[in-house]
Amino acid sequence: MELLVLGLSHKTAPVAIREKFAIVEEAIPQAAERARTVPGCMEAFMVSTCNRVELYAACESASAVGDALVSVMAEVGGASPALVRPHLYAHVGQLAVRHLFRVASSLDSLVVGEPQVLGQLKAAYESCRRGGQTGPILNRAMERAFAVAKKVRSETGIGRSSVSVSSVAADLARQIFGELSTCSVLLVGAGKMGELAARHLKTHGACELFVANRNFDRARALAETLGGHPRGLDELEMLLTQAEIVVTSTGAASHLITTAMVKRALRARKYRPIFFIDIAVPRNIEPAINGLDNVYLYDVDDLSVIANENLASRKREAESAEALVASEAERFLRDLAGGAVTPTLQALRRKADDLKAAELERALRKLGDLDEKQRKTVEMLADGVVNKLLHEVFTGLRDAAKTDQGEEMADTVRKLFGLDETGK
Amino acid sequence: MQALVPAGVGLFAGSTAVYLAALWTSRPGVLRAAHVLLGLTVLLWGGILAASVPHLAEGGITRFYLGGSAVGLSGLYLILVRRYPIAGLGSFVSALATLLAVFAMFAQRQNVTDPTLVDWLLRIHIGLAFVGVTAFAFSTALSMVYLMQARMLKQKAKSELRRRLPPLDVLDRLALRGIVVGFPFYTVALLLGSAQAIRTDHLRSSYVLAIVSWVIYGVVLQARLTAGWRGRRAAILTIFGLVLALGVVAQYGFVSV
Repeated sequence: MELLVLGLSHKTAPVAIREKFAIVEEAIPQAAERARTVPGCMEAFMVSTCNRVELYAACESASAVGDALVSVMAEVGGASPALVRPHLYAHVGQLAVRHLFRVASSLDSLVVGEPQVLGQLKAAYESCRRGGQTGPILNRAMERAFAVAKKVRSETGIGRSSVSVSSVAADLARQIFGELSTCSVLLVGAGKMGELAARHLKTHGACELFVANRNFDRARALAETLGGHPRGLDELEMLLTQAEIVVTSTGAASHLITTAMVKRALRARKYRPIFFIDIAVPRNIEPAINGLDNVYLYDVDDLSVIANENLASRKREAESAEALVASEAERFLRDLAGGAVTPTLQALRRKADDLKAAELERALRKLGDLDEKQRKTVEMLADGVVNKLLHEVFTGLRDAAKTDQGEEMADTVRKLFGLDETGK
Repeated sequence: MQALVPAGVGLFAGSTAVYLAALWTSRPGVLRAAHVLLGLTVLLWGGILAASVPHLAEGGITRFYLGGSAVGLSGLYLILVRRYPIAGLGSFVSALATLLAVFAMFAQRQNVTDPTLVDWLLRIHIGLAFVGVTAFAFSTALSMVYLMQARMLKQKAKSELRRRLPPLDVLDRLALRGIVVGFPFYTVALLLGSAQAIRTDHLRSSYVLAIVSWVIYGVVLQARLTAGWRGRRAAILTIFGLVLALGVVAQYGFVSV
């Protein structure tokens, strides 16, 4: 049995192609079922995210089903196989397992270390498992992929640091205030970046949000969208005494928030710390306020530098994650091969026991009346001969299972001992 | 049991090293190992201190309380780390505990020979003072980390270490609580010390240091609770207050009077 993956991702296909292949979660089992109808394909599973569409299959021979599965992929995207083929990648065996583990661990993602892909993979797998498209091989592979992803996240720092400006701002706020649930956020201006940062802070637990804008109607509209309170820009100084986090994103040409204003606000707020995030260009906040005690100011460049640093750190961590994934893929295949010889071992043991029982019965009948001790001695003799004969075979099979010759050896044993086709 | 004191000091130093490794690598396993090592160190010191109780009348009371402070400080951290995100504080706490344990080790070698030390009033005075000092030491560890964290945030330094240290607000709140808890003990200790000084007509220079450190903590407490004073200045004064309080301890433990 071979594991095969066919797919296209942000690395091989432009968004114009990828969007054709996007499948909603509900349609995934049908697409996988279509792949399973291909002769020789025993199990199938599909995943579709904004950056990838992949078909995983457990089949008797990858080369035999490859073309048919490419056609299935083309059907999914409503395109011809010839159009799809240049954008497709295919991995077989160990490379397929490694690819699956890399995808689950977010090593193959556009933003390395992002956590969403694991959730998407789990959801897609769950719908295919429920639909019966997956079987013992893919189930084992997927469960192991989830375990490897968890291990990668806990043993490397791949997902530890934030890589977007908004999430870096939220991280910094957490380093100042601990929990964001006690923090009020003041968004000054209605710029897109500011809105994103404020939304991020709100979704990460900020308790209250004020939106101050020169145009009150825009403030009100944005406040409604974000679940905050609209305020006029004339209330800015008063709002500085209330908010813990201030995000500025206006088009003003001069500084809206000055050192003198912040000094007054600090006195009024009894020097409770205040965190300014100035996303505007030109800047809305006088840079000198960063020199005041209990005031922290980050502009868009500061946030970008941290985001880039974090991205570089993720890439470094990804190197150790790659090594972990490679060794886990190897281990999984060894385990899988071990599983492949198990039915043969069981069948051989059953056959030997049946033979032993039949021959013992015949011999005991011929020997006539034996006392208990003599009977036990004959039985022990039979047990000893069978076990010693099988010991070498069992050891050889188990050793072969640790290499790539497990299936071949199991096949030979089945032929030599006249076991049935599946080894059962 | 006293022969184990250098081993106990070594264990505190070892805990500091493992906590630093945990801070550096950010591996949960290393942090767990550091917690276990510090816990074992606390247990060893508990044994050492329990064994020395019957011999306190023969001297070494300062050593006893210094060891007690190191144990109290570490124990307090091990309890609070379960509730607050202060894992990054471990290396600072264990470093301070190591310092206190080193003091204890040398105080042992230079036993205080002043016969008044066996006086019950003085024992209570020193005992309360060390409870206060333990709480102040905890606040100091928090304040040291606060200063580091605030500096890194101000300077927009590389994020790795900054991310591993506790949030400023947690550090600030816990440091204040340490002073709130330690100050009454230290105040009563100072009053008892003054009574002792009047009774024995023997004013040590250490009393002046003790009063100055008490004033510093009083000012920090008053300013924080009423004027909302917080942050860098409060942290610096908290550290300075502990330096003076340890100066008092040094006078008891190491200087013949």
